[in-house]
Amino acid sequence: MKTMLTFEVFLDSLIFSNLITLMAIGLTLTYLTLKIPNFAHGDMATVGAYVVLTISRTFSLNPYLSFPLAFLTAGALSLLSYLLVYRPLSRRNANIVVLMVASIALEIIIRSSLHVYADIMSSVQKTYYRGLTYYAIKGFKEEPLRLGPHKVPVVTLTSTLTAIGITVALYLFLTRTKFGIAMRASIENPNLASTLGINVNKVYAASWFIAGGLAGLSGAFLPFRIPTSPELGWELLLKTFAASTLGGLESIFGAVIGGYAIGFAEIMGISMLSSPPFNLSTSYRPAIPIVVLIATLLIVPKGLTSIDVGKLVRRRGKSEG
Amino acid sequence: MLAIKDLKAGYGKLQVLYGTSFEVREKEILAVVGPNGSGKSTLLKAIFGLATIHGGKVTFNGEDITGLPPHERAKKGLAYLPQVGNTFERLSVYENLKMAGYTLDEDELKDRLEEVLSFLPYIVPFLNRKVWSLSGGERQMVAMAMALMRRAQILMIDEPTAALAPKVVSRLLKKITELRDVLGKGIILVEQNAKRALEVSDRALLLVAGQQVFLGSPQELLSDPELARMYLGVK
Repeated sequence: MKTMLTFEVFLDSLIFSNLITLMAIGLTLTYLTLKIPNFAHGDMATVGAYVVLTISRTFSLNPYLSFPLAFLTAGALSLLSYLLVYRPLSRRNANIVVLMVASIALEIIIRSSLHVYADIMSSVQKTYYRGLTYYAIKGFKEEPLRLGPHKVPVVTLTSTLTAIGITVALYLFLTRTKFGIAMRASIENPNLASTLGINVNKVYAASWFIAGGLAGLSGAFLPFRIPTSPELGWELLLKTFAASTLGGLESIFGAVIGGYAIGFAEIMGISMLSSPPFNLSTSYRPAIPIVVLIATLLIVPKGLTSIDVGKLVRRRGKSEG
Repeated sequence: MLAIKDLKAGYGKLQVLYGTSFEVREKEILAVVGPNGSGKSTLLKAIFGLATIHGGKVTFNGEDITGLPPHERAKKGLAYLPQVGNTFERLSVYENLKMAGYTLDEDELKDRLEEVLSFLPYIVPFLNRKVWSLSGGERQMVAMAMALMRRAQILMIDEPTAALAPKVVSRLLKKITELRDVLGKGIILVEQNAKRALEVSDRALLLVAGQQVFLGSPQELLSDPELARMYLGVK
């Protein structure tokens, strides 16, 4: 039997996991601050994708040059959503349902605005602004890297380095800097943090900016592989929720684990299931992360980060002894 | 230093305290005792701005602070150590202390850390441990260290000995008396274990159903057979 888990499938899984991880880190950050499932988070990724696409197409630039702008724009939009919608509602003691519905409303507004934007750009640039990848940018070409007999797309390397770099940077920020520790403190106990002179509002605002920025950055990578569409982020949202929840929802490093688990499970899973002897249709693909999520939560209800690895090792040692 | 005048407080419309007045000076421990539900914890919360004030006045160093938010009161030198939630459990002890000195610059923070750790050397061995992994007594020490990092003049400590082993209780109460004797702090100590609290305090306040029943010396309170028997469980 010919296995379908090829090196190419592994590379595809890696790219997809990198992007889901960046989004899941952001989603977890917003959940940690206000305890709301932020339905508008996926649209920050779409905003990032469109920022890069617009600049690159308009000025015929290498897409990577506008990545920082994708981070800043999506971060600023996320910050505005916190300052203008979620914080006022939270101060009025809105419960989780109200906040969640507000995030759904905001999601619809942003996604609709992106449709309007795509239509305007289609008429201005005389190009249909949907279904485009960066390879439609004039003069942009990317030769794959060679790794023995394999061709490795450059985006595999750049997205992996970005995901690793962001995770390490975030770890150092949260554990080594005063503001980062204040962020963890404010998330855990905002009342105590404010009595110590920490400006909890400022800390939360920074969290929302970073969260949106990371989604924007993730979205900026998408048009290397997936054609742009105003629906792009919305379609990724469920997988992002699955990744965050799998990681335990309250742990940023859990989101990293969840992101890779969901990403690899989806791509490798569908590759296997669509090959003999299963021969399933690839339209089952969106179901995979959800099945993985449900199965994992049935065994570990608080997510993967709640597993006490030390305890498991000790128990194993005892049983072997 | 801290003066409370006819303080009435509660939670929203619900009134729990019905007018209490006292003063706390530096180098003094005031024990607040009374049966369950008598308003002891509410009194501390009201002084720190965490409960609804229905009337009365809180003055600190001559300034009326009745309407100030908790963080402003903290800046002025008041520290409130609730029974739970007085530390960041997912942070290490060192990070907790760093957060307690959040408003200080690096040099000042270093000096304060040295000062606090020399007063509470017990916490040095577990500076890098997460607070959730510590025992109840150790956590109280960390909370105390955090208050000292802020150089609070008045510490309001809510049931610090709850659920602790007798040996740990003795060590903790000894440290509380050292806060008074060595560092000159004023302390309001709310305790369920009235006998132990009265042993270390200079004055005592007895609250019953939100009413101030007694304010005076601990000896006086203990020598009143009716009060001692009815409300303090002392025979």
